Order: sequence, then C-alpha cells, then structure tokens
Amino acid sequence: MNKETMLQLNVIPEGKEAWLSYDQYQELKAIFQDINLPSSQTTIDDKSYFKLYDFLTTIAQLPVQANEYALHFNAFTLIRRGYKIEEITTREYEQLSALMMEVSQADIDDMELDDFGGHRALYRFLTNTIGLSVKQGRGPVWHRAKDLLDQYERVHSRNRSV
Amino acid sequence: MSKAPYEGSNYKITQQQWDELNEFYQTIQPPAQNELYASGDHYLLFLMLRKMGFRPSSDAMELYQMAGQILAAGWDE
Repeated sequence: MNKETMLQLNVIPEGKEAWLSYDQYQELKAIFQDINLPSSQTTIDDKSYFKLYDFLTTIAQLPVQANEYALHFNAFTLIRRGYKIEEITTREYEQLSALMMEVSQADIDDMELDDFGGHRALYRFLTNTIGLSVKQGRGPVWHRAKDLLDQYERVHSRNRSV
Repeated sequence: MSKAPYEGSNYKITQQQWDELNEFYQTIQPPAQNELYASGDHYLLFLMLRKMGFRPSSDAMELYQMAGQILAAGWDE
C-alpha cells in the first residue's frame, strides 16, 4: 500500500489533542503490540483485529473502516497522539520534581520496581499521594512523572505568555 | 538506566534490506514530540522494520532511533 492510499484511511482528527486516558492508552498499546501485520484491505480476517476494532470505535469513538489496514494504521496514529496528561498543582509539581532529582532515567520498558528506593517513592507518590494510575515498573513510573512535569511546564509557560 | 532499543543485538539485515531502509530513512524527519497530524512516515518505517523481522516499539521516537541503530550496524556480509 502506498502512502497516499494509506493516508486516505486516516480518521484521527488533525490538530486534536490527545483524548485517551492513561489507562485507555496502555490498553491500546497492549492490543497493538500483540497484533499481526494487516493482511486485508477489505475485511477483518484475523480475530485479534476485532478487539482493535472494538477499541477504536467504542472507546476512542473513531469512525474507522472495518478492515485490517485501516485499523492498524489508525491504531498506530492514535498511539502517536499520546494520552491526555492530567494537570497537577504547583505543590505537586514541586514534590514530583524533588523526587525526580533522586532517580535516574529509566527505559520505558524497564518493568523492574524494587520495594525501596527512588522509583518506588515516585510510584507511591503518583498512585497514593496524587491518585493517578501508572504501570508498575521503573520505566513507566519515570516516564509518567516526566510527562506530568512537562505538561505542568507547558501549561504554565503558556499562561505566563498570555 | 536508559538503553538504546537496538543495543545488544547482533542481528544484521542483508545489504538489500539495508539499502531499502536507508533510502527510506533518508527521506523522513525525526518524529516531533507532539505531532497532531498523521504523516504516515513513521508508520511506514514501523511496517518496514516488522517485515524485516524486528519487533519495534509503537513509540515513534524509539522506532526512529532503532532504525538509525540498525543502519549504523551495517549489513550481514
């Protein structure tokens, strides 16, 4: 399939900010990770694609065509859009920044998480203190925290420039 | 500790695959942090790597980095 034909399958609204929640985003990534490459431009032959179709139409509310190429391409594009990052307070930002100073960057797929130490403290802060969901693991915890800090800085730098 | 997606692998692609990947890689831009439109480029890169037998991440940044590392590793003589 060439690029032009592929882009005609796109149903992700251009310019629209991410709208999936963190949990929905993780679910989509898990479905996508396990799925075979598309084989049909007209139907769904692989049953794992039904799960993807259900997700994209029901949860993401996208009017995607029921064929494997359209589903696969739109899933990838939706993952690219990311998830809707929650806004945190200034106090939470300060606490989170302090915790992040104590830990090293972790690879996104680093799923180890010791019972003690900086990443565990970060995990407890995200889940227990501010009540957000995050996958257990140094990688997911570090990246979730980084997303929250970056989002806070984006919002506050925008507010300052208005 | 953060590591590169392709780090530690000894697998190398064939010269034909390398040429194909390199030709495409040279035509695309690194992914932007917040991309609010679909270019299709990184999806095509994802498909290309999957067809070459890799299991790339759906994260475009890692995907792009992985492709660069595969090219840097050269082809199997």
